[in-house]
Amino acid sequence: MGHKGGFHGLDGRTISRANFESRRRRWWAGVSKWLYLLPALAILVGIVIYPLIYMFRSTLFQWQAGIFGRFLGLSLWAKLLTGETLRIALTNSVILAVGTVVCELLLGLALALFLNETLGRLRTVLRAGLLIPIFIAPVIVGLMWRIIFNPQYGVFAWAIGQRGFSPIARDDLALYAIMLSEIWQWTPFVFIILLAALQSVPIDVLEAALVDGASFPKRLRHVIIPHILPAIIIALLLRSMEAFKIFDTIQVMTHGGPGRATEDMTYLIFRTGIWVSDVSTAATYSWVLVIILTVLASFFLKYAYRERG
Amino acid sequence: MSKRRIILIVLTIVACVVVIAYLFPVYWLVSMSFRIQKDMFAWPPKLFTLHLTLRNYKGLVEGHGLLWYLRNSAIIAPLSVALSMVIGSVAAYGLARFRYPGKVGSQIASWILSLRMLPPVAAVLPLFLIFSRLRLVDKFYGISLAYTFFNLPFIIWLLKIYFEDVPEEVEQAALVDGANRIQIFFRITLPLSTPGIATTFILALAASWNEFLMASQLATFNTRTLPVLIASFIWDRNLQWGYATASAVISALPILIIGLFIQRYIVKGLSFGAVK
Amino acid sequence: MRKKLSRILVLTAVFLLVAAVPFIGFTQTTKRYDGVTLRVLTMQHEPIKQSIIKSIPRAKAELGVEILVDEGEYTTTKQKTVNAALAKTGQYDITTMADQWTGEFQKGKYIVPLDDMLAKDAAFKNAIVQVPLTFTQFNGKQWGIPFAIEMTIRFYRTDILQKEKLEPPTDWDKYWKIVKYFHKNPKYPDFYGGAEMYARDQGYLIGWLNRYWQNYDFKPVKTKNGFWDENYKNCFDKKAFIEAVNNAKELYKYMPEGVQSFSLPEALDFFIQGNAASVLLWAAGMGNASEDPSRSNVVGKVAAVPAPGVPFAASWQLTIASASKNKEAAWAYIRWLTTPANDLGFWVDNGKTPILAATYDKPEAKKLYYIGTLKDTLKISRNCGNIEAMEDFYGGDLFPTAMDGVVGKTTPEVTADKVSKLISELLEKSGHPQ
Repeated sequence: MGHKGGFHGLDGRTISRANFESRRRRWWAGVSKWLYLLPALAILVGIVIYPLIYMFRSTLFQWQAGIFGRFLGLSLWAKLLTGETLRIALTNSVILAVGTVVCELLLGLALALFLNETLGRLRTVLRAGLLIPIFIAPVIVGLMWRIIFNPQYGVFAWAIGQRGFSPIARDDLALYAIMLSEIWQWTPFVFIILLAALQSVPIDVLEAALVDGASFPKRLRHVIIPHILPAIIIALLLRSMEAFKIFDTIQVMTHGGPGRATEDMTYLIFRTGIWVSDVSTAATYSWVLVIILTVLASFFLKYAYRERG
Repeated sequence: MSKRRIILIVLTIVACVVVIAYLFPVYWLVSMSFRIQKDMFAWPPKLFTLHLTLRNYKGLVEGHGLLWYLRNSAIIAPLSVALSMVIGSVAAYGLARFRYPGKVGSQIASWILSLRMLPPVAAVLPLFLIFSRLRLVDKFYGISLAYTFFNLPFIIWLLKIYFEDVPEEVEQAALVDGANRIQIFFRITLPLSTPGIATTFILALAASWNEFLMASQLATFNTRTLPVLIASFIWDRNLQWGYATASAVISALPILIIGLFIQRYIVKGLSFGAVK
Repeated sequence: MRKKLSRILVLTAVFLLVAAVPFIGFTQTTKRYDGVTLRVLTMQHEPIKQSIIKSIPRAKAELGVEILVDEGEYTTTKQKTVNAALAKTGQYDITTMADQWTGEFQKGKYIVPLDDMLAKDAAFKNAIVQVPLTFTQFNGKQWGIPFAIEMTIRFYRTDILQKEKLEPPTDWDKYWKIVKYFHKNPKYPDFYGGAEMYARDQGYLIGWLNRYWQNYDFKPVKTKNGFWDENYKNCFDKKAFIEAVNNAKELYKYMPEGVQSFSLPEALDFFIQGNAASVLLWAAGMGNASEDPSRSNVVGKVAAVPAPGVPFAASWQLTIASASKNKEAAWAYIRWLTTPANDLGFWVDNGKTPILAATYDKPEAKKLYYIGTLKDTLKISRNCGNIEAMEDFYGGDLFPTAMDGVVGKTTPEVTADKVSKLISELLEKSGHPQ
């Protein structure tokens, strides 16, 4: 090994033991930080690469109904991008995504503000109860609402006193029925995040605002919301991640109907790829979705991270 | 009684009503699972009936192998969660603490985020082909690996946020004292972010337990899970409301029970931006 | 002495031979496949699924085969078959296949033709109900053996029709009479003459099809389904379609409120709860629901007739996978599942429609009241046919487009043009230039 006082460095010069140790440590630090990411990246990249390539290739070479291989070039892209089906599905996806996230935020905030004022011990029980919808499988949530929205026997029709009325029977309302079931399931998630944030708003600032005679809306806007803004951002981020993947509830409640009224991008990809086995078409739609989501994600991150500070 | 107190009581009562009304669909589902089908579709709807039966549950256990499906789910869900929590927490820690050259760190993070936003429906066939080639089809560890793949983005992102919230100064102090990263991770970071870990754990568990799409493709003879059973009753030609609701209740129970047990941690975990 | 001995020996030999004949005959008729494991993918349709699963022990005892069962609902079964075929691992030996997948599966070579095996078994081929056998005949080959037959049947309330002196809905005129009679009839509040399935999955498929086939003149054109002829050229009759759409559009006004969200379960429940005089259903969707007192308010009051117009028939068939390593054993198992004894037993025990013609006439088969109706319906029914892109026919744009016409979003004429164009597109997708 070394002799007293120094080692031979790689360049032949003698370096001190302390120096060697710190260099080695820095080298290891430089390498080890990649090791943390390695297993996760190995799985993610390894598994996602082949599907991405496969799906891209399918958009260029026909893969449908047992028929393989004919070169399509960009003809399929051109046909699908200008088609009405994509337009409808994309619109539905956007309406669902924006609608669910916004409503979940508003309703969650309202619930949080409201329950923040209730007696402490009861609050724990109420909060536990509200946690329940989050853990139920989306298929089951869809089933629940399908039963409730049954036009001839459902509780909804009975409650509004009009037997025969059901939002899932009308192509102008069906999408909102889906939205309702999603909002019902995930508002508690936002609610819990915001409730916890509300409880950390410093009391002295609130009292000061009260003393100043500020009305509730003013207090809300100038004191409360700025304080819970980071929580709002995170809730927004977490829910947006899921916003474009609404599928199970649609499958159970309406099968994308009436007509195409509740067909979103995910359902469209399912219908063309798995039901009809037109993998080329499904792959093309998938790539459209991938591109849109990637752009959204990076845009969102830039803005969200800036706000979080 | 002061005016304040009266308002408080009124608000509390209203809050109770709101929550009970909110949970009505859950009550409806459970109630249906204990009824005969004739009573599920009466008009006017029978909000409450004492004419209850266990036939749906009995039929599930005796005629449809409920316990077998339960066992499979009980093996796959924890296995996949354990795997993805280990791999995910390590990656999250790296992304939270280390600076990667250029903007690679944030780029990887945003790529992982966009992965999460992508619906798995799109990649069913090629995924099956990969798993088939790797001989992972119909194996418990195979399906767990598939679930890991789908849950990792979410887990990494959540844990990253939690780890970032652990004050870096505490870790730095320990570093200076000569501790290495592993010791810091286990003795400082993890304990300080326990609520976050608990939250991520239960959300990942619920996601794996309720996952249907990949299970329906990768589980064939030996590993079919509960969601596959539930889905079998919801297909239109076969829609048996009694079995569908009963299996739904059974499926929801384990996650609910665990969730209620660690409820305290979850609430703390979901308190982002709160004062420490 | 020697002569006597040899005579005794000869007599003993003859005796032994004669006694052995029954045993030889017995072992020759059922060859066993001990040690063979057959992997079966079954659809989660209860009659089919229960028939296969419950008979596993008997299959082991009588054939020696070990049966492993995988299951899935409709699209899952299709995707699993495709997955398995593309992975080429022999994951399944036998799969249940909807007849509309024949074009696709045979094109991709996922399944093997069964002509050779059927040729050695002419008696069996003739014993099967011939109509569903044709559903999986494609490109001159036989691709599947029918296992469960679906057809559209109209179930009706015998008590109410008798009381109001109305005739059973055997044709469109009688059906219209019933529907109009109960429309806003104060004697029968909340009661309708019929209930159809309209929701995306089922109804838009049947709503106009029965009538279109009734209107279509099949004599001059060589077509089986009224959409394309034997040379795969579009022969869609717009006029017949327009009349059918107008009929459906008119009928829609008399249907229960909210019927656009009715899929099969909702329509079925509406009828057996007692709110409709008749309902149009897939026979297999009814099963024995109307006779189950825990589900039905109309036990014993239901009879059935074939759907008015030309009923629609389809089937689930058993196919052998190309990648299977046990094709001979698979065929033996298929033959075992379709013996007269099993055919009758599966109908009586599990409600799986019989596929041997003789079973329909057996007295035990009368256990379920509409067995006779099934037989009559099959004789006059039609199927939508087969092309490579057949599933696109069902899951693509065609039916929602037709539905737009039924609910009045587009005029019947415009709808007819669109549908005709879509049919041409489908034919071209399948490799038949128009």
